Amino acid sequence: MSSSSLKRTVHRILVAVDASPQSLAALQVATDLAARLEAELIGIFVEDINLVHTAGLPFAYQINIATGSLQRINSANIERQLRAQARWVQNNMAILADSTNIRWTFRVVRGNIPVQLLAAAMEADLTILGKTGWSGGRWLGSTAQKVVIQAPCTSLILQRTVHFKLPVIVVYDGSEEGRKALASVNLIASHDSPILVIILAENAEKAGELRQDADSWFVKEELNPQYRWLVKLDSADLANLTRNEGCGILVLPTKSDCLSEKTILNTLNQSECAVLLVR
Amino acid sequence: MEKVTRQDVGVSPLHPDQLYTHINLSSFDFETTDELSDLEEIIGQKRAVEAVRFGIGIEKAGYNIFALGPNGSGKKALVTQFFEKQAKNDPIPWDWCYVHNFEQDHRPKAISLPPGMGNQFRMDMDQLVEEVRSALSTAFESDEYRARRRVIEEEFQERQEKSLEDIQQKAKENSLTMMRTPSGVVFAPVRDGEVMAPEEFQKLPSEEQEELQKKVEELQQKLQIVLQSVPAWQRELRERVRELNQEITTFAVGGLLEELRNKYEPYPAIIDYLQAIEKDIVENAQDFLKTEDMPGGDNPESQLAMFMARMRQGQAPMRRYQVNVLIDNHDLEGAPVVFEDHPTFQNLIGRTEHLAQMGALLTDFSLIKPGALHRANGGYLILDAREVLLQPYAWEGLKRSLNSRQIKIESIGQMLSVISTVSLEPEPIPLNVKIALLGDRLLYYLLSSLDPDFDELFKVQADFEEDMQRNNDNLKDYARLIATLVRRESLKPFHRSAVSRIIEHTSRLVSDSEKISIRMRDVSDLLREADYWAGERDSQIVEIEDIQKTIDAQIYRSDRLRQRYQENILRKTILIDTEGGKVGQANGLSVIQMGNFAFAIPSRITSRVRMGKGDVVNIEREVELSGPIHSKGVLILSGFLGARYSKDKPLSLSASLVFEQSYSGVEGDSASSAELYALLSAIAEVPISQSLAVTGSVNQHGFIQAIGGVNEKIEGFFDICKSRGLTGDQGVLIPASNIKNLMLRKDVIDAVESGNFHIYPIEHVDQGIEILTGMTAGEPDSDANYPEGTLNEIVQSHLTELAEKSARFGKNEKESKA
Repeated sequence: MSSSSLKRTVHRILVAVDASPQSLAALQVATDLAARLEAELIGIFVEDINLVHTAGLPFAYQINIATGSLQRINSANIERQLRAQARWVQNNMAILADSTNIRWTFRVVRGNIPVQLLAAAMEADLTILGKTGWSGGRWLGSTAQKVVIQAPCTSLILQRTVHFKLPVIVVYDGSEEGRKALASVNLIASHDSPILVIILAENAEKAGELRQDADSWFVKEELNPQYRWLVKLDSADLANLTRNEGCGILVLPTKSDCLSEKTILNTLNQSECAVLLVR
Repeated sequence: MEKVTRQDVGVSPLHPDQLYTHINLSSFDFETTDELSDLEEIIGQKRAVEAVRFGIGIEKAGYNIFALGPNGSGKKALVTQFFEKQAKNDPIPWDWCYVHNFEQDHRPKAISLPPGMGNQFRMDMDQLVEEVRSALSTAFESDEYRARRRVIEEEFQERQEKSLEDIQQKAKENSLTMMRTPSGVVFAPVRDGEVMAPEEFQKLPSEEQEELQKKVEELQQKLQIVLQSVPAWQRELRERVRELNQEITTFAVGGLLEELRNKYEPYPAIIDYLQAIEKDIVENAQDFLKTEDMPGGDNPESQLAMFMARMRQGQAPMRRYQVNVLIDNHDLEGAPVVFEDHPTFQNLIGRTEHLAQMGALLTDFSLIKPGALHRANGGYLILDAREVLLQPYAWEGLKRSLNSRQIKIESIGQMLSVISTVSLEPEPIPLNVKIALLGDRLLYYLLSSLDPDFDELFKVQADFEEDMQRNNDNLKDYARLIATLVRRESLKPFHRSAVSRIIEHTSRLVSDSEKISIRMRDVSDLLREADYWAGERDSQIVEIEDIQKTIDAQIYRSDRLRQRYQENILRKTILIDTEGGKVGQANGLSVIQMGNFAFAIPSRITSRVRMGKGDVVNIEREVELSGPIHSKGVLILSGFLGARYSKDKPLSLSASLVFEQSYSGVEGDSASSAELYALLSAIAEVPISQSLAVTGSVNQHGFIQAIGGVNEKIEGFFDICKSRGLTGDQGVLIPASNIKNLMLRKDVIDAVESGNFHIYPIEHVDQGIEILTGMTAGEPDSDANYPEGTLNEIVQSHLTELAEKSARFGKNEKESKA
């Protein structure tokens, strides 16, 4: 698959924004990618229905993060705050999109965040979202976790931002998903970034076959990756590998027999680079 | 009436030899100045030389030198020569540096080091900064540092997350969830994984509602406690990172500073300074690192804050480790000798400059600039007294430094509170300097009488002569001096005749045939100009004609006004008679000084007499055009007249005296003899010869006294007579005591030699009046009566007549009144 045909596989990019610094970084990455792949960018801001409900409760108090002070809130108040956030995000998106001259839309929906995001992802080819939202911790946020597991399309989970020029690590196990993962390398990496292919195979013979298989594809794309053979892979290995190689993007096939859902989630939690989950 | 001829009078006109004292060329045993050796010693300034030697030799406070004398007398050259000679044998003073004071920013510290080491120290410090930067960069980029730092940050992060997770866990246990709002956190009850809608909540039994509410409040309180602890945790994090940074820094820079400590061990001030630097580097290690290496360095807000903080400090962070080498003496070969030609307060004492940064004027120790006192410290400083006094506060600043024996840099703006900006108080530097002030005598005596500090600070008075004796030894030395100047200025060699003419001219400059001028400026100018004129006529040697041409050209350039005066006299706009006789009218001579050029013109002095009360009216004085000395001269005339001719009767005349056509003031008493002659002529009604002009002051006994400008006066009258054609009768009466001052122009001497012009040396009024009137003056007998027919007898009888008439007139008046 050539790079031009690759471009055609990504027509729409969905980016989830909640006005947190991480989501704004995701917006920046999404804009750059959309410009590179000539795709349409869809920004989505979900007004959390749970938050609206909470504000309606008689004992709804908000604790200010900076000062720790208590503050009574109500639905109108919360809705106003959400509207303001949405407008702010939209303005930012407009500025970024205009500077790169891409097609873009922005929509505000109300509901359960993961549900709304998954619904929106149905019409996208690539979903981009921050690893954590407003919580800002090091573990995968609840929203991201649901999207990671259930997303209908390829998704890019960002630590904060992406260094496209850093090495790309891709895991290949010979499966159909694995091949998609190989194809995605070209989609996401810049032309001169080093590529490391992790061949997952039980024995050397199989590994040789897989390498040949992968190589034939990379030769077509005029890429010259390095290979490493592993018999099995767990999340700690992957996280260490990314750290040691100074990895910018880790490309993982989903629905692969070699990579369980749990491994993927743990890898996301432990690694410090962006992760592209290929479907 | 007893008539006399000029030959009968006991006064003979002067012989041409008496009018100009030539130098005997045989006293010069050289052909041109090329044959003469250089004159190393100073001539004619024995007193000044002794004084300067003494001033240099004595090393006590206050023995500074004031060289006093007229401009061009070689004060600066002499003082510089002696200072430089002594300075070569003096030790080279130490360098001075200013460095940052880490305890008090505004009081930079002064450090002194052996000559040349100041710069070495500066370079060492520059290198230290570079090395510290690289050592720290390496240390802070090391894996060890990163790992230790990450551990600290991790610990903090974990503590924060743990607290939040605990609360989240607690919430989960109580069927609650914690959610972010756009500006805070809320807790809400959960049913089946979804937040309970308000309607759903309302349906709950009230106990359950209360229970939920209570749980929410508990969690809120817990969260509040956590959030309130966060700032303290962050402080703790910063403190621990700082401690780590300091530990790493101390380790990284310790070795570098130790090297410097060993090198500068003999200098305790530097050891103290290095100690302070080490402490400062450890406390401010982040200044050495690139912004991205700094804790929080990737945060643009913190970068801006740091930039603003530096702006407020007024310095780039590394500047404070620099060394400002104020004085670097490495290229001296002895003590410094400094001449400051623009001695403003700041040029003397030094100054602190300012840099404009974001609209504010900031300064630091590196902007301290030295003054002349710094540069001359440990050596010699020469200043022009007048220049120092003309510059605001310079004199006060100089005195303060000399009194306190230290240089304290202050800003005048600050001193007067006219400028309010960041300023410094640099540590004063000890002052050990010998100062020579150059000035004219008036300044010296004014300072001495008006400034109480002056005599304390300038105890050595070096008084410069303007002339010296014209004897054989001095002439030879003078010729060598000319040769030295000729060589120094790269001029053509001077022939001995030219040299002698120059020396003769200097005698004329001081108006004394027995003296030579030692005002070197005049001589140097003459040499340069004569060299030019010799070049104009393509001669390789400067001859006597070039000297004459130089003198003539100098006069011609200056004598426009003299020509205008003479022109007015010749055109009879100014009335001066040069022949015939007039009653009550004499030719006086007045000198006009125009800058360096002096000339004289004849002035008509007239007198009228009538009966009166014995007063001589000085008309100039009545209209306040007479100076005090002139007025005094006229009053002396009354004394002379009364005592000589009217001892036993009242002086019953009223006489008036006036300088005709004088429209500016008259000063000096040199015309008093002329006034007396005019007065006697008026009383006796005997005409005075107008072919003669008169100069000389007179005392109450009728003796003629010396006056100034005798050469100019004779030449002034000669020029008018010559223009009208010399008759052979013309001449000038001068005081006999002025003969030694005669150095007349050649054309005057020629005229005298050919008998066309005469110069009479007069000792007493009687000699003068005889020449002027052609009458015998007459000697008084024992009754104070004069022989009949003599001029004095006529004067006496006319005065007696007036007295008698007056007495009669008085008597008639009384009778008519009675």
